[in-house]
Amino acid sequence: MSLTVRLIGLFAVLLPLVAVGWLILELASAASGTPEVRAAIGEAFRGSLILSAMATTIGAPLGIIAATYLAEWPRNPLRAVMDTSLMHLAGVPSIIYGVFGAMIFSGLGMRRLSLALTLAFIVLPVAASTTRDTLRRVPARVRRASIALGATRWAMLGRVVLPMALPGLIAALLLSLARALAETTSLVAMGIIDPQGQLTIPVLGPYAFRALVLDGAPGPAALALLCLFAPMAILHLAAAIADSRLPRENP
Amino acid sequence: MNPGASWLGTLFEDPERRKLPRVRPAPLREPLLAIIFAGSGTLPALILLAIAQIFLPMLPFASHLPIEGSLTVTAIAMAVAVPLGLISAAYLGELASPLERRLFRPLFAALAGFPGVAFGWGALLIVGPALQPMLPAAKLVAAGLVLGVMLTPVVSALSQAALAAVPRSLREAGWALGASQLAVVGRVVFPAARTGLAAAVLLATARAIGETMIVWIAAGPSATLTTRMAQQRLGGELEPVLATGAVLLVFTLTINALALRWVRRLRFWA
Repeated sequence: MSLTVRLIGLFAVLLPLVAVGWLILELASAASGTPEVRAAIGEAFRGSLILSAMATTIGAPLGIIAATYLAEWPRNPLRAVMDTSLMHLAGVPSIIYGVFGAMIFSGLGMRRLSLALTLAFIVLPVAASTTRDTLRRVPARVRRASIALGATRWAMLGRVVLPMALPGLIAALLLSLARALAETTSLVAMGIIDPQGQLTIPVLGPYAFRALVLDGAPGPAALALLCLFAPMAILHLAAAIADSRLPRENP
Repeated sequence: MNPGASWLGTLFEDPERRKLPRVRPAPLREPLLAIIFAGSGTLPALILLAIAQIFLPMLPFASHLPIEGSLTVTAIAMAVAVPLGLISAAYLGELASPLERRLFRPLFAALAGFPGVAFGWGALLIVGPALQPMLPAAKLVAAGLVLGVMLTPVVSALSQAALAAVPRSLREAGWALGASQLAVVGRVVFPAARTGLAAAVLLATARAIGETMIVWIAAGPSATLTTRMAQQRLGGELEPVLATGAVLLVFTLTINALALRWVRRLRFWA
């Protein structure tokens, strides 16, 4: 492979990485805040963790179960509908989810639960697609071997396929958590910032958005974004490590 | 046929025996063609923009919606994301050493999860002011460029999946004919994966049309469909949001449906 090709390839790979690395450095140098701001960001950090944990608890198991069904059971008309709707679910803009959530779940009265339910819908396709990719990587020869030994479909799934895919399922959970942490748009559309411009439930993403757009305060926004970035980087790294424990792609 | 039999059938199916599409000579023969190929990522947005310019004045309820803003930002973003995404996919998926692959793939995947508000922060405070003296609509362009950087890993990941679905036997045939690694990627793997690559571009286009935070923070609340919706919601309204949301949903669902058809076609023989 020629040097030019290598340089062009590396340029395309490194440009986004360098841009984001530079952005993180700029955020770090701009981050500032009074003690009150720091306290508010700490509270928002806890609020973010609670909210994304709730969303993942509701949404990720549904996504994992749906993807397992789609990957392991034979095609039928119901499956085709499920497959299509699951793939469309991943492509719907999150602001639509927010408006949808505001219409459906606001009647619940419990603000935090309604936010978590909306986020669960956003998390579901993330968990489902990760699970599906994982199950595809379980080699066909392993399945054939278990069938040859007389295993039923459930035994094959429960004792062979899912244990082998466990790191991928853990990665699905971690990525769902990260997705829920990063989500801001749908929460704004749900009305987490009231018409007076106040944050009704402390969450990092909307906090940073409010500080940047309504207060014109880049320093506190940068601090909140760094607090958001740290757990996300850890989650993505852990997901990558879990993913590397999976068997290699089918030969 | 009983369902158990068909299930076992899928288990023992030999992927090599399924029908393969004909591989035509690649469109990458000339560098100029390569540039056009990479730039074609903006095509979906530009086509939609042209359609919107012609038909929107006829629809009274849609004429005041900022559809042009949405599609302009999308076109700028795709002009950045598609060349970078396709080249990085070719590099990470086909050409890079295993070490580089192990190093860059997780980093790239993590980029896709970086929050939009943080990109918006950069577009507002770094990219926008830098472009201000050079361009008339600097804020919109800044939003588009930063959105493009954000979508590069998305295009790259989807394209890598499409390239990985191309059977190894096609590559081996290319190598056996004495083609270089680059020629095999450009003339065999890319053409064979073209439906998947087109689907990757379309899915990223749908993501770009739906993105809210970057555009609002960088270019203000009346720039695109999504920011208009968020602004109306922030004011506590719901009814006008639904009308705007319906238009947005028509765009994204159409693009997604087209992309999913092409993904299926790829999976048929992958």
